[in-house]
Amino acid sequence: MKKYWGLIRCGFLESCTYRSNFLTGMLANFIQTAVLYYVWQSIFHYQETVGGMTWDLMRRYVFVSFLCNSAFSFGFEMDTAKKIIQGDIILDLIKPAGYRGMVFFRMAGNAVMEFSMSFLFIGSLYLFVNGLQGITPCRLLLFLVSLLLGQGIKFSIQYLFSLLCFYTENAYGVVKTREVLTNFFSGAVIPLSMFPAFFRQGGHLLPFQGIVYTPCSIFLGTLDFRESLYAMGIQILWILLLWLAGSLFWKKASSVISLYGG
Amino acid sequence: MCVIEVENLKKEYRLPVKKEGTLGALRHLVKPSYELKQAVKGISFQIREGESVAFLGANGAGKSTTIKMMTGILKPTAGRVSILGKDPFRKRMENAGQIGVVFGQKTQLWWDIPICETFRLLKDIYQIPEELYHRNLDSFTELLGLEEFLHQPARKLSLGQRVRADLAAALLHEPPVLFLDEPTIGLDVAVKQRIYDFLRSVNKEKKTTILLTSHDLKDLETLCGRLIILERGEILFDDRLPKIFEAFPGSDSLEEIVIRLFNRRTAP
Amino acid sequence: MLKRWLRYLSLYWKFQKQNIKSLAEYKADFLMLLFFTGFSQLCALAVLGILYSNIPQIQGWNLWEILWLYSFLLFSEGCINFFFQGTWKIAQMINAAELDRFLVRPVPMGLQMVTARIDFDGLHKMLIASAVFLLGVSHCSISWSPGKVLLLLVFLLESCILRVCMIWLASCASFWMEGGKNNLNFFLISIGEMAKYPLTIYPALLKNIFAYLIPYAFVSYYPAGYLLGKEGMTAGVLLTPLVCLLLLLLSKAALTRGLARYESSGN
Repeated sequence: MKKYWGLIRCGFLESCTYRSNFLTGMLANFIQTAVLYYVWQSIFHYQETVGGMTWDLMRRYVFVSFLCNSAFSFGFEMDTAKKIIQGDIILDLIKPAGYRGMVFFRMAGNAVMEFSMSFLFIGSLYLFVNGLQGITPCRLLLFLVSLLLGQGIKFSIQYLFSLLCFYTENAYGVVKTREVLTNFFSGAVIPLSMFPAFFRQGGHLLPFQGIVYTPCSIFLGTLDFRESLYAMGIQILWILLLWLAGSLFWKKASSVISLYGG
Repeated sequence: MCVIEVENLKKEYRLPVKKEGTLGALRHLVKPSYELKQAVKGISFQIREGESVAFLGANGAGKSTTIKMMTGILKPTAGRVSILGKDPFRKRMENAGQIGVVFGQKTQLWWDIPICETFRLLKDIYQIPEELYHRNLDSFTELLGLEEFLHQPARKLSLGQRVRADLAAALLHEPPVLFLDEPTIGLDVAVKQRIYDFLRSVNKEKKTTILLTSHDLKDLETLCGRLIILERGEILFDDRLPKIFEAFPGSDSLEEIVIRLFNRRTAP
Repeated sequence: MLKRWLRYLSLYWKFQKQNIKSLAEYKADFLMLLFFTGFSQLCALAVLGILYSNIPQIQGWNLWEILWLYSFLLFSEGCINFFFQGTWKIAQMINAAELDRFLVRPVPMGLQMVTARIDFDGLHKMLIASAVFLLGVSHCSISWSPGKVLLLLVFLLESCILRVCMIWLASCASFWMEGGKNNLNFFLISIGEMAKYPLTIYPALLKNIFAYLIPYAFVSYYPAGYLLGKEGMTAGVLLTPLVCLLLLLLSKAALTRGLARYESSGN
């Protein structure tokens, strides 16, 4: 366990050293949220409710969805790809700790930094704009648990996508696809309740909603207590499934490494 | 005639000072601090046409830095460099046309296309006249044994093949000055010999001035008439190679002298 | 003078030709990238589609007009990916000291850096952008004249120049950063998110950032808006050439200053 703790610390230090990086990730997330905020604001100027939501609800949704996206915001596909190209990936593979475990704890270290800063920042902004209304301690607790579960899902998905880097040189393509897919189906851009029927049903079958839509709905009170627990159960189920998929895919991917040079 | 003139050349770097531990890292986040590192401390020398000069020094002594300043890669902090009358940094492109460079650890070749295609591109880049290009290409192919991999891309070559191709690439346009930065690193003895022969012939026939940095003492002994020893950014010795034995009496081989010199730096 | 520029153009073409040849080695990759791009664009368009299935317009821009706006952005992005993809690799080249080999060649650095890489995906994006463009245009009421078509081409050229310079500047920031990764490129693209929607939805502060700091407004909003006949676009459109010039000058300065700081520490 000690080696994992060291990795977390390493990740944390990393995000301090490469401060421009970490700020960039957070800012990019912030930008997207801000865009959505203004888009929705101008939309709700003309209509009272859109797809069953009011501006009040939507505004809070936007803030919370930012928080859900604020950790692991950059993803590590590029790192993985770079390591593969430079051949450093071998070093990771021969280390005694499990590959995924290593990546996870390093990213977790990064995430601690991102998360605490985002929490402080967005938390205060939220309270400033929306006030304390509608928050109960019970719901807050459920939300926090669901949030953490969502991060677990997010990581697992990123992990799976990062394994794709073993098959292609185009890490950026992988990143973009993962981002777009996640943003779309997680409800980060538009809450799933506004999707047309076909997409909505598809969205509910996928793990992505667990990253943003589920925690947000719990927080906003769209789901009652029983429904919240049910949704969180689904999140846990997805984490397990994705974890399994990750292990299987890893076995396949790690045997595909092609090496360059002499 | 002086081909290379270096006067009081200095290079300083600003290095960030990182403190240990979590608290230190946080502090660095907020207020970073730097320290000044002097890589080259004001060196001077002159090289005449057709000379073969070796730069010797421990890692970090400033050899690569000096060569990079002479090839226009780095901007000197102070001092003057002149290659055939041109400032390599200010007149980068003009200077580039009159020098050839081989980096032992990095290649000049295009990675994914056949070597012959790289050569053709270089012909366009250096605007080499058709006849001269073919003459040099044929001659180098023979001397360096390039036929066997002329149609392979650089990424499929072994190190020895790659360095030979790099050498040919650097000399296609017949530059009067050739810089070699650790060219024989990692090469086997047979390839090294081939390269020595090639460089010697180039130096003799075309009066190409050669500047070489290396850790390999055999390189220096075989190729170079003059030796410049750098240590921590300063010149310790600059004279014809045999003279070093006069400067350090009591040693039989160059190797011994070098070890003595380098051990001195760690002596109290 | 002209002869020199013609030579550079010929060198540009020769470098790109080699890039294209080397791409043949990475076929599987290329197909994957086609898939990724197609999919990403589909999602992006779906977002707009879903948004508009709930509401009729945003600040006076209906779905087709927004699609048209988007096509400007996408087209310039594709243009960079295909013609100037090296700009994306600059940060990496600086950190790995790969600029050395460029510096010792008698070819302008800018030319070498920009052709360091080519991305066929760029063509793909430009194609999709054209399709979206036509889709949007067929539903918009614009009276086309030869003058307007000429303007359109000028606008497209300007938006490409602006985009290339922006990424160039973001990449050149690596000269000033201590090692490690430079993510300004990606950050810049993220900001591009904002340019997907009409400028008027943002408060004054952001509007100003968009016009004066990170000039995305000139890439898509003003040209598209002007051709659509929206109000308040003329000033923006007239300023665009000046902004282009400014950015080009800044880019050149960034390169010159950056190279003076270049430390070539990589191995």
